[in-house]
Amino acid sequence: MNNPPKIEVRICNGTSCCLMGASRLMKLFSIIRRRFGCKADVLTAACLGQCWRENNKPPHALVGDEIIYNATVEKVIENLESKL
Amino acid sequence: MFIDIDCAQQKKYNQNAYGDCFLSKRTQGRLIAVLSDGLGSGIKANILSCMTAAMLLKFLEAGSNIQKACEIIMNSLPVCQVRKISYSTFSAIDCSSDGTARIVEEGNPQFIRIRNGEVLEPECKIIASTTFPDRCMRIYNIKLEPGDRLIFCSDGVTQSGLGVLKLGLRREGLIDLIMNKLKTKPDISSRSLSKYIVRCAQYTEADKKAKDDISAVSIYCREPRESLIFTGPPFHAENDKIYADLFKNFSGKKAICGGATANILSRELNIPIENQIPLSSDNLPFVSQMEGVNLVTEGILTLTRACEYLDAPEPVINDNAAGQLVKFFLESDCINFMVGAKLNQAHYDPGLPVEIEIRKNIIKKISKLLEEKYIKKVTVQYI
Repeated sequence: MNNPPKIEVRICNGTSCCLMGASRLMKLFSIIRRRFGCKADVLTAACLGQCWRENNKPPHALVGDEIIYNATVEKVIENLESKL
Repeated sequence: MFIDIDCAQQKKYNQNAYGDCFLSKRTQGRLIAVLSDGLGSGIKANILSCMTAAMLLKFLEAGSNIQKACEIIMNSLPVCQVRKISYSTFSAIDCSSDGTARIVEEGNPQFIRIRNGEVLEPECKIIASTTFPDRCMRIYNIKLEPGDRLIFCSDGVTQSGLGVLKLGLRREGLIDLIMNKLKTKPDISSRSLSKYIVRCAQYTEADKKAKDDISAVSIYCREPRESLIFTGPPFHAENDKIYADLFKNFSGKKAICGGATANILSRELNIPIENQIPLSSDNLPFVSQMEGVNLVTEGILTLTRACEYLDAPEPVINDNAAGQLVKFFLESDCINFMVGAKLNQAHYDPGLPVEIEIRKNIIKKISKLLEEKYIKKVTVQYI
Protein backbone atom coordinates (compact mmCIF):
# COMPACT_ATOMS: atom_id res chain seq x y z
CA MET A 1 0.00 0.00 0.00
CA ASN A 2 1.31 3.47 -0.87
CA ASN A 3 1.79 5.93 1.95
CA PRO A 4 -0.24 9.14 1.59
CA PRO A 5 1.90 12.13 0.50
CA LYS A 6 3.63 13.94 3.32
CA ILE A 7 2.21 17.27 4.47
CA GLU A 8 4.72 20.06 3.99
CA VAL A 9 5.27 22.60 6.74
CA ARG A 10 7.18 25.73 5.76
CA ILE A 11 8.46 28.37 8.11
CA CYS A 12 8.91 31.81 6.60
CA ASN A 13 12.47 33.07 6.73
CA GLY A 14 11.75 36.62 5.52
CA THR A 15 12.72 39.85 7.23
CA SER A 16 9.48 40.65 9.03
CA CYS A 17 8.93 37.08 10.18
CA CYS A 18 12.47 36.76 11.51
CA LEU A 19 12.15 40.02 13.39
CA MET A 20 8.85 38.93 14.86
CA GLY A 21 10.05 35.63 16.21
CA ALA A 22 10.40 33.08 13.42
CA SER A 23 13.47 31.78 15.24
CA ARG A 24 11.16 30.47 17.98
CA LEU A 25 9.46 28.34 15.33
CA MET A 26 12.73 26.57 14.58
CA LYS A 27 11.90 24.18 17.42
CA LEU A 28 9.35 22.77 14.99
CA PHE A 29 12.18 21.10 13.08
CA SER A 30 12.90 18.68 15.88
CA ILE A 31 9.31 18.39 17.15
CA ILE A 32 7.76 17.59 13.77
CA ARG A 33 10.53 15.20 12.79
CA ARG A 34 10.20 13.35 16.06
CA ARG A 35 6.42 13.21 16.27
CA PHE A 36 5.31 13.20 12.63
CA GLY A 37 8.47 11.97 10.93
CA CYS A 38 6.76 9.82 8.30
CA LYS A 39 3.71 12.03 7.78
CA ALA A 40 5.10 15.56 7.56
CA ASP A 41 8.16 17.41 6.25
CA VAL A 42 9.40 20.66 7.66
CA LEU A 43 11.39 23.24 5.67
CA THR A 44 12.10 26.95 5.64
CA ALA A 45 10.90 29.31 2.90
CA ALA A 46 12.76 32.34 1.53
CA CYS A 47 9.59 34.41 1.97
CA LEU A 48 5.97 33.29 1.96
CA GLY A 49 4.99 36.64 0.52
CA GLN A 50 2.37 37.35 3.15
CA CYS A 51 4.04 40.47 4.55
CA TRP A 52 2.76 42.51 1.61
CA ARG A 53 -0.81 42.11 2.77
CA GLU A 54 -2.32 44.17 5.51
CA ASN A 55 -3.41 42.89 8.91
CA ASN A 56 -1.41 39.68 8.63
CA LYS A 57 0.72 39.57 11.68
CA PRO A 58 4.07 37.83 11.22
CA PRO A 59 5.62 35.31 11.73
CA HIS A 60 4.00 33.15 9.10
CA ALA A 61 4.03 29.42 8.53
CA LEU A 62 2.48 27.30 5.83
CA VAL A 63 0.91 23.95 6.68
CA GLY A 64 -0.09 22.14 3.52
CA ASP A 65 -1.70 25.02 1.65
CA GLU A 66 -2.99 26.93 4.64
CA ILE A 67 -1.15 30.04 5.89
CA ILE A 68 -0.95 30.51 9.63
CA TYR A 69 -0.58 34.10 10.83
CA ASN A 70 1.08 35.08 14.09
CA ALA A 71 2.35 31.52 14.19
CA THR A 72 3.48 29.77 17.32
CA VAL A 73 4.75 26.24 17.80
CA GLU A 74 1.42 25.23 19.39
CA LYS A 75 -0.68 26.75 16.60
CA VAL A 76 1.31 24.97 13.89
CA ILE A 77 1.20 21.60 15.66
CA GLU A 78 -2.53 21.96 16.29
CA ASN A 79 -3.16 22.77 12.63
CA LEU A 80 -0.95 19.93 11.46
CA GLU A 81 -2.71 17.44 13.74
CA SER A 82 -6.09 18.49 12.37
CA LYS A 83 -4.87 17.68 8.86
CA LEU A 84 -3.49 14.25 9.63
CA MET B 1 42.27 44.43 -16.50
CA PHE B 2 41.88 44.61 -12.75
CA ILE B 3 44.68 45.55 -10.38
CA ASP B 4 44.45 43.59 -7.16
CA ILE B 5 46.40 45.39 -4.45
CA ASP B 6 46.81 44.62 -0.78
CA CYS B 7 49.19 45.23 2.06
CA ALA B 8 50.09 43.21 5.14
CA GLN B 9 51.98 44.60 8.10
CA GLN B 10 53.60 43.57 11.36
CA LYS B 11 54.62 45.92 14.15
CA LYS B 12 58.09 45.89 15.61
CA TYR B 13 58.30 43.64 18.66
CA ASN B 14 57.09 45.39 21.83
CA GLN B 15 55.67 48.38 19.98
CA ASN B 16 52.02 49.27 19.93
CA ALA B 17 51.86 51.26 16.69
CA TYR B 18 52.88 50.52 13.14
CA GLY B 19 55.91 52.47 11.96
CA ASP B 20 55.10 51.92 8.28
CA CYS B 21 52.06 53.34 6.57
CA PHE B 22 50.25 52.11 3.49
CA LEU B 23 47.49 54.12 1.83
CA SER B 24 45.77 53.51 -1.46
CA LYS B 25 42.77 54.69 -3.38
CA ARG B 26 40.98 54.06 -6.64
CA THR B 27 40.06 57.32 -8.24
CA GLN B 28 38.91 58.28 -11.74
CA GLY B 29 39.93 54.94 -13.20
CA ARG B 30 43.39 55.10 -11.63
CA LEU B 31 44.89 53.29 -8.70
CA ILE B 32 47.20 55.31 -6.49
CA ALA B 33 49.09 53.91 -3.53
CA VAL B 34 51.87 54.95 -1.19
CA LEU B 35 53.99 52.89 1.18
CA SER B 36 56.01 54.94 3.62
CA ASP B 37 58.48 53.84 6.29
CA GLY B 38 58.96 56.25 9.17
CA LEU B 39 62.27 56.71 10.98
CA GLY B 40 62.59 54.55 14.08
CA SER B 41 59.58 52.69 15.40
CA GLY B 42 56.46 53.11 17.47
CA ILE B 43 54.38 56.28 17.65
CA LYS B 44 57.09 58.56 16.26
CA ALA B 45 57.58 56.42 13.17
CA ASN B 46 53.84 56.02 12.84
CA ILE B 47 53.27 59.77 12.73
CA LEU B 48 56.14 60.37 10.29
CA SER B 49 55.08 57.63 7.89
CA CYS B 50 51.38 58.52 8.06
CA MET B 51 52.15 62.16 7.31
CA THR B 52 54.34 61.32 4.34
CA ALA B 53 51.89 58.79 2.92
CA ALA B 54 48.85 61.04 3.43
CA MET B 55 50.55 64.06 1.83
CA LEU B 56 51.71 62.07 -1.18
CA LEU B 57 48.34 60.42 -1.67
CA LYS B 58 46.61 63.81 -1.57
CA PHE B 59 49.10 65.16 -4.11
CA LEU B 60 48.47 62.24 -6.47
CA GLU B 61 44.73 62.32 -5.97
CA ALA B 62 44.64 65.99 -6.89
CA GLY B 63 46.17 65.03 -10.22
CA SER B 64 49.74 66.20 -9.63
CA ASN B 65 52.46 64.63 -11.71
CA ILE B 66 53.90 61.80 -9.61
CA GLN B 67 57.50 62.82 -10.31
CA LYS B 68 56.85 66.41 -9.35
CA ALA B 69 54.92 65.40 -6.21
CA CYS B 70 57.63 63.02 -5.05
CA GLU B 71 60.37 65.56 -5.76
CA ILE B 72 58.64 68.12 -3.56
CA ILE B 73 58.29 65.61 -0.73
CA MET B 74 61.91 64.41 -1.12
CA ASN B 75 63.28 67.94 -1.06
CA SER B 76 61.24 68.97 1.92
CA LEU B 77 61.33 65.97 4.27
CA PRO B 78 63.24 67.08 7.36
CA VAL B 79 66.32 65.36 8.80
CA CYS B 80 66.36 63.88 12.29
CA GLN B 81 68.52 66.05 14.56
CA VAL B 82 69.87 63.03 16.43
CA ARG B 83 70.49 60.46 13.73
CA LYS B 84 71.03 62.85 10.82
CA ILE B 85 68.93 60.75 8.46
CA SER B 86 65.65 61.55 6.76
CA TYR B 87 62.40 61.30 8.63
CA SER B 88 60.83 58.82 6.27
CA THR B 89 61.22 56.93 3.02
CA PHE B 90 58.50 56.11 0.51
CA SER B 91 57.34 54.26 -2.60
CA ALA B 92 54.55 55.80 -4.66
CA ILE B 93 52.54 54.02 -7.34
CA ASP B 94 50.19 55.49 -9.93
CA CYS B 95 48.54 52.97 -12.29
CA SER B 96 45.92 53.70 -14.89
CA SER B 97 43.38 51.11 -15.96
CA ASP B 98 45.17 50.44 -19.29
CA GLY B 99 48.20 49.18 -17.32
CA THR B 100 50.52 52.18 -17.61
CA ALA B 101 52.22 52.59 -14.29
CA ARG B 102 54.59 55.17 -12.89
CA ILE B 103 56.48 54.28 -9.79
CA VAL B 104 58.75 56.44 -7.67
CA GLU B 105 60.91 55.14 -4.84
CA GLU B 106 62.92 57.09 -2.32
CA GLY B 107 64.89 55.15 0.26
CA ASN B 108 62.68 52.03 0.24
CA PRO B 109 64.00 48.71 -1.12
CA GLN B 110 63.64 48.37 -4.87
CA PHE B 111 60.36 46.73 -5.89
CA ILE B 112 60.23 43.29 -7.51
CA ARG B 113 58.51 42.85 -10.84
CA ILE B 114 57.48 39.35 -11.86
CA ARG B 115 56.14 38.26 -15.23
CA ASN B 116 55.59 34.63 -16.28
CA GLY B 117 57.64 33.34 -13.37
CA GLU B 118 60.64 35.55 -14.11
CA VAL B 119 61.94 38.62 -12.38
CA LEU B 120 62.26 41.60 -14.70
CA GLU B 121 64.63 44.45 -13.96
CA PRO B 122 62.88 47.57 -15.22
CA GLU B 123 64.90 50.60 -16.29
CA CYS B 124 64.83 53.57 -14.00
CA LYS B 125 65.76 57.21 -14.06
CA ILE B 126 67.56 58.54 -11.00
CA ILE B 127 66.92 62.07 -9.80
CA ALA B 128 69.04 63.51 -7.02
CA SER B 129 67.61 65.87 -4.46
CA THR B 130 68.48 69.54 -4.86
CA THR B 131 68.47 70.19 -1.13
CA PHE B 132 69.86 66.98 0.37
CA PRO B 133 72.85 65.49 -1.46
CA ASP B 134 72.38 62.02 0.06
CA ARG B 135 68.82 61.60 -1.21
CA CYS B 136 67.80 60.42 -4.64
CA MET B 137 64.71 58.89 -6.08
CA ARG B 138 64.21 56.22 -8.73
CA ILE B 139 61.49 56.73 -11.32
CA TYR B 140 60.07 53.87 -13.36
CA ASN B 141 57.66 53.97 -16.28
CA ILE B 142 56.33 50.51 -16.90
CA LYS B 143 53.48 48.83 -18.73
CA LEU B 144 51.62 46.22 -16.76
CA GLU B 145 50.12 43.20 -18.46
CA PRO B 146 47.65 40.61 -17.20
CA GLY B 147 49.46 38.18 -14.91
CA ASP B 148 52.12 40.67 -13.82
CA ARG B 149 52.98 41.05 -10.18
CA LEU B 150 54.74 43.84 -8.33
CA ILE B 151 55.99 43.47 -4.77
CA PHE B 152 56.92 46.43 -2.63
CA CYS B 153 58.25 46.16 0.87
CA SER B 154 59.77 48.14 3.69
CA ASP B 155 63.35 47.42 4.76
CA GLY B 156 61.90 45.43 7.64
CA VAL B 157 61.37 42.60 5.14
CA THR B 158 64.71 42.63 3.33
CA GLN B 159 66.68 43.09 6.57
CA SER B 160 64.73 40.54 8.57
CA GLY B 161 66.79 37.77 10.13
CA LEU B 162 69.99 39.80 10.42
CA GLY B 163 72.20 37.71 12.64
CA VAL B 164 70.23 34.52 12.09
CA LEU B 165 71.06 34.58 8.40
CA LYS B 166 74.42 36.24 7.84
CA LEU B 167 73.07 39.23 5.95
CA GLY B 168 69.40 38.86 6.61
CA LEU B 169 66.74 37.83 4.13
CA ARG B 170 67.80 40.41 1.50
CA ARG B 171 66.18 40.95 -1.88
CA GLU B 172 67.44 37.61 -3.22
CA GLY B 173 65.94 35.68 -0.33
CA LEU B 174 62.65 37.48 -0.75
CA ILE B 175 62.59 36.69 -4.48
CA ASP B 176 63.21 33.00 -3.71
CA LEU B 177 60.36 32.98 -1.20
CA ILE B 178 57.92 34.57 -3.62
CA MET B 179 58.96 32.35 -6.55
CA ASN B 180 58.51 29.19 -4.51
CA LYS B 181 55.08 30.34 -3.37
CA LEU B 182 54.06 31.22 -6.94
CA LYS B 183 55.14 27.77 -8.14
CA THR B 184 52.71 26.09 -5.78
CA LYS B 185 49.98 28.75 -6.01
CA PRO B 186 50.27 30.66 -9.30
CA ASP B 187 47.03 32.57 -8.87
CA ILE B 188 47.45 33.54 -5.21
CA SER B 189 45.66 36.78 -4.32
CA SER B 190 47.50 39.91 -3.28
CA ARG B 191 45.99 39.63 0.17
CA SER B 192 47.38 36.13 0.74
CA LEU B 193 50.75 36.83 -0.86
CA SER B 194 51.42 39.96 1.18
CA LYS B 195 50.41 38.14 4.37
CA TYR B 196 52.69 35.26 3.43
CA ILE B 197 55.68 37.57 2.89
CA VAL B 198 55.17 39.30 6.23
CA ARG B 199 54.82 35.97 8.04
CA CYS B 200 57.99 34.61 6.42
CA ALA B 201 59.92 37.76 7.28
CA GLN B 202 58.79 37.55 10.89
CA TYR B 203 59.67 33.85 11.14
CA THR B 204 63.15 34.54 9.79
CA GLU B 205 63.86 36.69 12.84
CA ALA B 206 65.37 35.24 16.00
CA ASP B 207 62.53 34.07 18.31
CA LYS B 208 60.07 35.23 15.61
CA LYS B 209 60.18 38.72 17.07
CA ALA B 210 60.18 41.47 14.45
CA LYS B 211 63.13 43.82 14.94
CA ASP B 212 61.69 46.47 12.68
CA ASP B 213 58.26 47.24 11.26
CA ILE B 214 57.51 44.81 8.44
CA SER B 215 55.25 45.74 5.51
CA ALA B 216 54.66 44.08 2.17
CA VAL B 217 52.47 45.37 -0.65
CA SER B 218 51.49 43.08 -3.47
CA ILE B 219 50.01 44.13 -6.80
CA TYR B 220 48.55 41.52 -9.12
CA CYS B 221 47.09 42.33 -12.54
CA ARG B 222 44.42 39.93 -13.66
CA GLU B 223 41.04 39.57 -15.22
CA PRO B 224 38.55 40.89 -12.71
CA ARG B 225 36.32 38.56 -10.73
CA GLU B 226 32.92 40.14 -11.30
CA SER B 227 29.94 39.63 -9.07
CA LEU B 228 26.35 40.82 -9.01
CA ILE B 229 24.14 41.21 -5.96
CA PHE B 230 20.42 41.60 -6.57
CA THR B 231 18.56 42.97 -3.57
CA GLY B 232 15.03 44.29 -3.32
CA PRO B 233 12.12 44.09 -5.76
CA PRO B 234 12.28 46.50 -8.76
CA PHE B 235 10.17 49.65 -8.36
CA HIS B 236 7.99 48.91 -11.41
CA ALA B 237 6.78 45.34 -11.28
CA GLU B 238 6.45 45.25 -15.09
CA ASN B 239 10.26 45.49 -15.30
CA ASP B 240 10.79 42.33 -13.24
CA LYS B 241 11.35 40.24 -16.36
CA ILE B 242 13.96 42.63 -17.83
CA TYR B 243 16.02 42.67 -14.63
CA ALA B 244 15.63 38.96 -14.11
CA ASP B 245 17.07 38.38 -17.60
CA LEU B 246 19.93 40.78 -16.88
CA PHE B 247 20.63 38.81 -13.74
CA LYS B 248 20.46 35.49 -15.57
CA ASN B 249 22.81 36.61 -18.34
CA PHE B 250 25.44 38.04 -16.00
CA SER B 251 28.62 36.03 -16.45
CA GLY B 252 30.22 36.34 -12.99
CA LYS B 253 29.18 35.18 -9.55
CA LYS B 254 25.66 36.00 -8.41
CA ALA B 255 23.91 36.52 -5.11
CA ILE B 256 20.35 37.37 -4.12
CA CYS B 257 19.69 39.15 -0.83
CA GLY B 258 15.99 39.21 -0.05
CA GLY B 259 13.18 36.71 0.28
CA ALA B 260 10.73 38.59 -1.95
CA THR B 261 13.52 39.25 -4.47
CA ALA B 262 14.34 35.54 -4.58
CA ASN B 263 10.65 34.77 -5.17
CA ILE B 264 10.49 37.25 -8.08
CA LEU B 265 13.61 35.83 -9.74
CA SER B 266 12.44 32.30 -9.14
CA ARG B 267 9.10 33.12 -10.80
CA GLU B 268 10.59 35.01 -13.78
CA LEU B 269 13.42 32.60 -14.48
CA ASN B 270 11.49 29.47 -13.56
CA ILE B 271 14.13 28.23 -11.15
CA PRO B 272 12.79 26.75 -7.91
CA ILE B 273 14.14 27.92 -4.56
CA GLU B 274 15.37 25.06 -2.49
CA ASN B 275 15.47 25.35 1.24
CA GLN B 276 17.75 22.88 2.79
CA ILE B 277 17.68 21.93 6.38
CA PRO B 278 19.16 24.83 8.30
CA LEU B 279 22.59 24.28 9.80
CA SER B 280 23.97 27.27 11.63
CA SER B 281 21.71 30.21 12.29
CA ASP B 282 23.23 32.59 14.81
CA ASN B 283 19.86 34.38 14.94
CA LEU B 284 20.03 35.16 11.23
CA PRO B 285 17.67 33.88 8.56
CA PHE B 286 19.01 30.84 6.73
CA VAL B 287 20.59 30.52 3.33
CA SER B 288 18.51 29.06 0.49
CA GLN B 289 19.69 27.55 -2.80
CA MET B 290 18.86 28.30 -6.40
CA GLU B 291 20.46 26.66 -9.40
CA GLY B 292 22.91 29.02 -11.08
CA VAL B 293 23.02 31.41 -8.13
CA ASN B 294 25.95 31.27 -5.76
CA LEU B 295 24.21 32.60 -2.67
CA VAL B 296 20.58 33.29 -1.69
CA THR B 297 19.94 35.01 1.63
CA GLU B 298 17.35 37.13 3.38
CA GLY B 299 17.69 40.89 2.78
CA ILE B 300 17.94 43.64 5.36
CA LEU B 301 18.95 41.67 8.46
CA THR B 302 21.68 39.74 6.64
CA LEU B 303 23.01 42.85 4.89
CA THR B 304 23.06 44.77 8.18
CA ARG B 305 25.02 41.99 9.87
CA ALA B 306 27.38 41.67 6.87
CA CYS B 307 28.05 45.40 7.15
CA GLU B 308 29.01 44.94 10.81
CA TYR B 309 31.31 42.05 9.88
CA LEU B 310 33.01 44.13 7.18
CA ASP B 311 33.44 47.02 9.59
CA ALA B 312 35.22 44.87 12.19
CA PRO B 313 39.03 45.26 12.35
CA GLU B 314 39.37 41.82 10.71
CA PRO B 315 36.44 40.79 8.48
CA VAL B 316 34.36 38.05 10.09
CA ILE B 317 33.83 35.00 7.89
CA ASN B 318 31.70 32.31 9.48
CA ASP B 319 29.00 29.79 8.59
CA ASN B 320 25.94 31.99 8.90
CA ALA B 321 24.35 33.85 5.99
CA ALA B 322 26.14 37.16 6.68
CA GLY B 323 29.51 35.41 7.01
CA GLN B 324 28.98 33.72 3.67
CA LEU B 325 27.99 37.04 2.13
CA VAL B 326 31.21 38.64 3.43
CA LYS B 327 33.18 35.76 1.90
CA PHE B 328 31.32 36.35 -1.37
CA PHE B 329 32.29 40.05 -1.30
CA LEU B 330 35.93 39.40 -0.48
CA GLU B 331 36.28 36.85 -3.28
CA SER B 332 35.20 39.44 -5.86
CA ASP B 333 37.04 42.40 -7.38
CA CYS B 334 34.23 44.26 -9.10
CA ILE B 335 31.00 44.18 -7.16
CA ASN B 336 27.78 45.33 -8.83
CA PHE B 337 24.70 45.98 -6.77
CA MET B 338 21.24 45.98 -8.35
CA VAL B 339 19.06 47.56 -5.72
CA GLY B 340 15.30 47.38 -6.11
CA ALA B 341 13.73 50.60 -4.97
CA LYS B 342 10.34 49.21 -4.08
CA LEU B 343 9.45 49.69 -0.43
CA ASN B 344 8.18 46.75 1.52
CA GLN B 345 5.26 48.31 3.38
CA ALA B 346 5.49 45.63 6.02
CA HIS B 347 8.90 46.95 7.09
CA TYR B 348 7.33 50.27 8.07
CA ASP B 349 4.90 48.69 10.47
CA PRO B 350 5.39 50.56 13.76
CA GLY B 351 5.01 47.20 15.52
CA LEU B 352 8.38 46.01 14.18
CA PRO B 353 11.60 46.52 16.14
CA VAL B 354 13.57 49.65 15.22
CA GLU B 355 16.69 47.73 14.15
CA ILE B 356 15.36 47.45 10.64
CA GLU B 357 17.38 49.60 8.23
CA ILE B 358 16.41 51.19 4.96
CA ARG B 359 17.91 49.16 2.11
CA LYS B 360 19.44 52.12 0.30
CA ASN B 361 21.27 53.23 3.44
CA ILE B 362 22.71 49.86 4.21
CA ILE B 363 23.88 49.38 0.62
CA LYS B 364 25.49 52.81 0.77
CA LYS B 365 27.38 51.82 3.93
CA ILE B 366 28.48 48.47 2.53
CA SER B 367 29.66 49.91 -0.78
CA LYS B 368 31.64 52.62 1.02
CA LEU B 369 33.33 50.00 3.19
CA LEU B 370 34.08 47.74 0.23
CA GLU B 371 35.54 50.63 -1.74
CA GLU B 372 37.58 52.30 0.97
CA LYS B 373 38.57 49.50 3.31
CA TYR B 374 38.76 46.56 0.92
CA ILE B 375 39.74 48.51 -2.23
CA LYS B 376 37.04 46.89 -4.40
CA LYS B 377 35.45 48.41 -7.47
CA VAL B 378 31.79 48.93 -6.62
CA THR B 379 28.86 50.05 -8.75
CA VAL B 380 25.33 50.55 -7.45
CA GLN B 381 22.33 50.66 -9.75
CA TYR B 382 18.89 51.50 -8.42
CA ILE B 383 16.11 49.82 -10.31
